[in-house]
Amino acid sequence: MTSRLPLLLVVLPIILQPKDSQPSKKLVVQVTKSAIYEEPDSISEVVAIVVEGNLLEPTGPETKGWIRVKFGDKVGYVNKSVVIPPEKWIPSSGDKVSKDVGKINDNSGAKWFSPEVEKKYKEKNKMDKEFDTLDKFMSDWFPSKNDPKTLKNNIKDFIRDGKLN
Amino acid sequence: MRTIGLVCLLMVSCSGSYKRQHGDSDKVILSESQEYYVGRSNCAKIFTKYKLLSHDNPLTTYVNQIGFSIALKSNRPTTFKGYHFGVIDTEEVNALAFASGFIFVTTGILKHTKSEDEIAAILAHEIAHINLHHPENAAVVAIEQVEHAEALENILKGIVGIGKLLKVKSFEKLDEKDWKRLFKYFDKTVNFCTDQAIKGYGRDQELEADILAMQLLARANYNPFAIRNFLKRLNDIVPNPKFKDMLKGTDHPTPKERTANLDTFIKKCKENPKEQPFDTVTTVRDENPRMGRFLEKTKSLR
Repeated sequence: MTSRLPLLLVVLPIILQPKDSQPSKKLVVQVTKSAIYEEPDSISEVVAIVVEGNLLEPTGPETKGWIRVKFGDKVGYVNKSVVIPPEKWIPSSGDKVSKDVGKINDNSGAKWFSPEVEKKYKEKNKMDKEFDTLDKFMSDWFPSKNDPKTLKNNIKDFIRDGKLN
Repeated sequence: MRTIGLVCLLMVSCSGSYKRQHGDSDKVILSESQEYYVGRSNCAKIFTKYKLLSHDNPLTTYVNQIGFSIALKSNRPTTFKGYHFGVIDTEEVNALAFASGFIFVTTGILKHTKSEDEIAAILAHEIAHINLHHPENAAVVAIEQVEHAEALENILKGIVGIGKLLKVKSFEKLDEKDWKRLFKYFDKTVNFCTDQAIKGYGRDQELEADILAMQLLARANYNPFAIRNFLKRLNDIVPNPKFKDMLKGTDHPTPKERTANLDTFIKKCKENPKEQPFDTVTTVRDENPRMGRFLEKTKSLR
């Protein structure tokens, strides 16, 4: 029994270490485009832009929905809704998906509700006009929404002018 | 008994391919991109009936700025391709949230607002639906309904379900028959979700969204009581036949019930200040600093 004591002294603290204090393994970005922010706040400075499939390294536990991460040489905060463990990630079939994670989850089910299915839906329901309107709505209506940096600056000014800070 | 077991087994195997675990939660929902394609088709569907205010209309920009001021401060500040806010040009009094953050308000509902904070309240309620994954939950319900019906039909026919079939086939190798079935799933999901967004996501979800909306307003430094004030005014227009029609046959709570639900929440927060998610949720905020731009941007409505 005494011979096992040193081993137990080494192993026990590792086993008993609270789970939250262990930064988990890498996380993958599950949205097409997002930002890493200087502070845990989407209105703070943008440190880096990340795209779907980028791998981020957590450097601390999650706090109030934000995770401190490292991406290349950049360090900042990402909202937890933006990332997912790689093994749970289902990549979209978009051509801009980063290949950081490789083909770990290339299952057919992921593509079910996809551009291909949408195309069939559009043809069958003769909705070309409506989908054209939708594409314009997404690109031309308040275009600053499509760039995290421009959006942040636009909203920051709006917040200040309305005394919402 | 054996048949029931077989039915259950088939239902489980059929549903596997559609769903996944989201983050660290056990809640089963669609992936971000799958959700996005449902949301897009929901939008296209409403564009068959309604027209949007143009991209250069000041009201469009204003609604986007208010919407993003709240969304960026929420628990889900972005979605697969981000939030998209639009104003639908109709007298109907409504606001809609589709999967993946497509949010619409009608000019009809905006006409009843008296401040920017009340517009923020309407948008906060819709953003709360997105934060709480209500549209995806509706999509999962729709998918399950088709799955269950199909599983039963297949047992009677003695063939495998669509989930199992597509799991073993690659997407590129789907034949016409498979496409037909896959299309049926997508079509039913889009129809069900559009309907749910228009009529309301159900009693509990609507009340839950109101409470989160109040917290989101507080977090974005808007007056959290704006939602309560607006619901009180909405109660006065309930006798309006158009509004009455909208609530008819739905499980949507009335503005009166929603106000009472918020009152209970406020009371709880006041009794247990430590329990409330944000210490400012019961603090009334001055709406006047934003009144000038509200009157300017909404003058086309009056």
